Amino acid sequence: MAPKRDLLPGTLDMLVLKTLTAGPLHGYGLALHIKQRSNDVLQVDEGSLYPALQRMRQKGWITAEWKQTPNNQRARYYRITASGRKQLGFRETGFAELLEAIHRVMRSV
Amino acid sequence: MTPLELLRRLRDRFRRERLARELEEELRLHRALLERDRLAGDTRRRLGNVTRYREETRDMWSLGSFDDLMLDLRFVFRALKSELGFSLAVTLTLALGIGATMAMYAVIDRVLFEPLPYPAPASLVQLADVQNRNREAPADYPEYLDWKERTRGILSDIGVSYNTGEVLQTADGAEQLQGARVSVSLPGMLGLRPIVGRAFRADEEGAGAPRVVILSDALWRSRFGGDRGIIGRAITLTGQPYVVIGVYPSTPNARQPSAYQWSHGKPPLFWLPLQLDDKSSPRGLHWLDVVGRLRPGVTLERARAGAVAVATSIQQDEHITNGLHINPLGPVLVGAYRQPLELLLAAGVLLLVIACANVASLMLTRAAMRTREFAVRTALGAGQGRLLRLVLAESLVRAGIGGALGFGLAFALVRAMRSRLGDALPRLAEVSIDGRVLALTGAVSAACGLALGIIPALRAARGDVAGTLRGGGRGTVGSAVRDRARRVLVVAEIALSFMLLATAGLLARSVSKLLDVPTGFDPANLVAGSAWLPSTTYPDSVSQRNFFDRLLGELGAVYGARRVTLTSDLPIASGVDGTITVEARSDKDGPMPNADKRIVGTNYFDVMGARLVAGRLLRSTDVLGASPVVVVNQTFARQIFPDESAVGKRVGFDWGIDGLETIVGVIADVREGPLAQPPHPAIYISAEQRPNSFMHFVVRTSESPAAVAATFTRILRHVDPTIPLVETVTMTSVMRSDIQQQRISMMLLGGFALAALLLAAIGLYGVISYTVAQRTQELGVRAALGALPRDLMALVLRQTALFVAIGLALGTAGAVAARALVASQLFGIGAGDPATLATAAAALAGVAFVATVIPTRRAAGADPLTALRAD
Repeated sequence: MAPKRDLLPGTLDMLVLKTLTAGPLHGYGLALHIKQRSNDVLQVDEGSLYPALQRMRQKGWITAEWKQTPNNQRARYYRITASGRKQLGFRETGFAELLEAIHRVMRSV
Repeated sequence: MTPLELLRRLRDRFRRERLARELEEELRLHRALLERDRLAGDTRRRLGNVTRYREETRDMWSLGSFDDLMLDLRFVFRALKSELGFSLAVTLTLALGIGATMAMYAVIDRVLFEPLPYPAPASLVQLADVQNRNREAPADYPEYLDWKERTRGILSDIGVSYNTGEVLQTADGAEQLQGARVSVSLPGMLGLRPIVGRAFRADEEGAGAPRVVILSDALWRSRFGGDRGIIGRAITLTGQPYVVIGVYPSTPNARQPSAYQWSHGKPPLFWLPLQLDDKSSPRGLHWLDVVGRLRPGVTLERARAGAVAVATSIQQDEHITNGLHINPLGPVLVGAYRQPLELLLAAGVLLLVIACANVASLMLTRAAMRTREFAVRTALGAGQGRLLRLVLAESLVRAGIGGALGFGLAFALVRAMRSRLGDALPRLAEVSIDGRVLALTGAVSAACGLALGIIPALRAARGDVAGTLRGGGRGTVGSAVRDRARRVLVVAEIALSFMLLATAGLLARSVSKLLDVPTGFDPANLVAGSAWLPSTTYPDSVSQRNFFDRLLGELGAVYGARRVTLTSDLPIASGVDGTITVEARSDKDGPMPNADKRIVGTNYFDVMGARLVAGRLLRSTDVLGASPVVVVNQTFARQIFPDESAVGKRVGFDWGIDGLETIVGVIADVREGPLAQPPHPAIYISAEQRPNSFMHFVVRTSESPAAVAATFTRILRHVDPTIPLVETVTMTSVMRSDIQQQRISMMLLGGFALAALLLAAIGLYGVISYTVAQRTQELGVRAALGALPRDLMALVLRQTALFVAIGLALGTAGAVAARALVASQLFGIGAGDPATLATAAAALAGVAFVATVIPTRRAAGADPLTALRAD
């Protein structure tokens, strides 16, 4: 089992928004998706996830809607908005630049 | 934070209970799914700190300062509710002060300071005739023509008006209407434009010009159904056809620019052009109201200098002594109301100050009780800013509620004044509680709230926490300062209340003195009607006399011949006065005297109850053809024949009547003019010898005025159905309306004074209760040592007596300082009348005594042991 890593600050929003571009998901689905795609490296605990979702909803990046899951449970599904996609663009660019910068520093010595 | 985000936050704030529930549900699902997946193979799970993220999200659903404010407000309202009595006292007190002040402000603002409703009102002036002793009078007609001719250098326009009554004859019958005769220049000067038809043309002015009439909008709509077809048609006014040429709107500028019209009259129902000549309106008949408009660039000073030159040139050319005054129009129309209204506004402001002092005193008491509460709050971590805000918020909310109630009170007061006082004040109908009053009320309330809140707020924020908490919760911090402040406030309240009370007392004494003025006749049970005979059907003295003789005969058959009589002018209501010539005297002996002229029935003095002093009264033998005789009053005799008997002297009038009349008798003064003015010289002429076209018929009867009016109408219809009854009044109502303004001032000021007295009593009661409560222990010790309740009472009363004494001394000083404002409103009594001031002082002392005894009796009667334990 891979060691658990903490997220870089600010990346949770980006991961959530990116995940939502594939389609609406509920909170647990989001956490699960991030965990599986990162091969269990990235673990999102609900203590960070749900406040983040509330914050992004208030900022208008995502909308929330109560729906039935395939297993007939009531769950709140989050959907990315146009302003959310724009935000995601900023974040992705910023993140890529950051990674590139870190790489350069790491390679230079 | 973007506005949109703020909006979402705000929305979340109001549905945060639901959001919290939803979050819980989301978390339950999360756990359930987690549990399921763990069963499916996952082993280790980390559970978050549930409380922490709950709080984190909760914070997101709130708005820091907004929620603090809501919390403060909720706290304030809870405090207001928990201390309902206190809050009620504060808000009602403030409402009283604010309401009274705002109502007076609304009235004074409209009546005195609103520009006249005419175009360019600042350049409008009154032109007044000046007679001997600098007395101003209306103009006579030849004088108006002279002025018109010679003031062109200073005035761009000059106009004249007088009231006229005409009988409108329609299919429904005859109806007496009030209208105006105006120079053709006047409506334009007032900014009147016809809404239908046209204005007067220049060739329609002057004797013999065509008979044309302009209707008012009100008359046009009520009597002619607003029919435009009326233009060009003739209507019958007093038996003559007049062609309707236009309709003027019934707007405020339709009111004629004369002081009488402004204080008593209604806007005219119709306009006729001025069609006078020297015969119908000769020199000496002063009755025309003249207004002018200053030429652009001409100052009042220059106009006045010009007026002197004009008067001098007229005096030389015409050999007359009359002068010319030019006065700004505004003060002429409403100037008489300036001082009474200023006095009332001052009284309102005084009441507001008393109310504020009272509230400040209440707040200080409460601040003392809350010192501990604030100390505890500070100790628990409330910031000083937060405490300051809390106390200020409380004060502002109270003042706000007080202001809102006060606004309502002002509204009610103004409405009551409008409906009760009607025509007593010019422009009263225009007074409204408008945006300006609302804004001022808001500003005054906010100022009160801030002023009353700032000191307790600073105290609360600066409190010595440890000291207070150690001090056994008795709230002793700064109590010495606070007590002194409270005493100062109570003394101030007593002083100011005394000023109001004394002024109200002085006004009340003035009114009662006015009512006690010896009128020279008995006004009880006198009812008068009047009729006016048009010159078309009653062209000469004989026909006029015959009409009134027949009328008097029929009235006598109903009420008794000794109880009915005639007069051209009712007493008190004032009437035409004119210049008198005295046999064997000329201009060189000094200016010609003036006298009120009355044409009366020969039994007038008996019916009125006037008293003969010398000579004889008029007799039924003093008829047309017999030697012409008159009766004069004592003032006439004293002024014009100071060193000799008036009886037997011969006098004449310079209008309409030739020859001299012999004075046969002198009566004790009958008040012909306003009660507040000293009696004028008056001269009484027999209606048999000098019949008049307008007469009042007076009846002494115990019948109701309505019944008498019905009889008048019936008899008039019988004598001549084309003559309408002009109006029916009782002599007591004439007298009442004469002193109405004084009465209104007295009632309003009396109301303010009572309110002030009540507030002072509440304030004193509060202070005494507080002191007594503080001295409970001391009083207990004294009681235990054998002091009787009476002794304890005396102890406290001594303090009250000191307050009252200082307050009365200061109040007297204040009353002396303000006496200039008051004195002009008084009649027959000085502003420093000792009896009135003493009565006011006694009333105040009595109220203070009661306000002291009630709380003290409780304390003095308490069981000494209980009192000693009390802490």
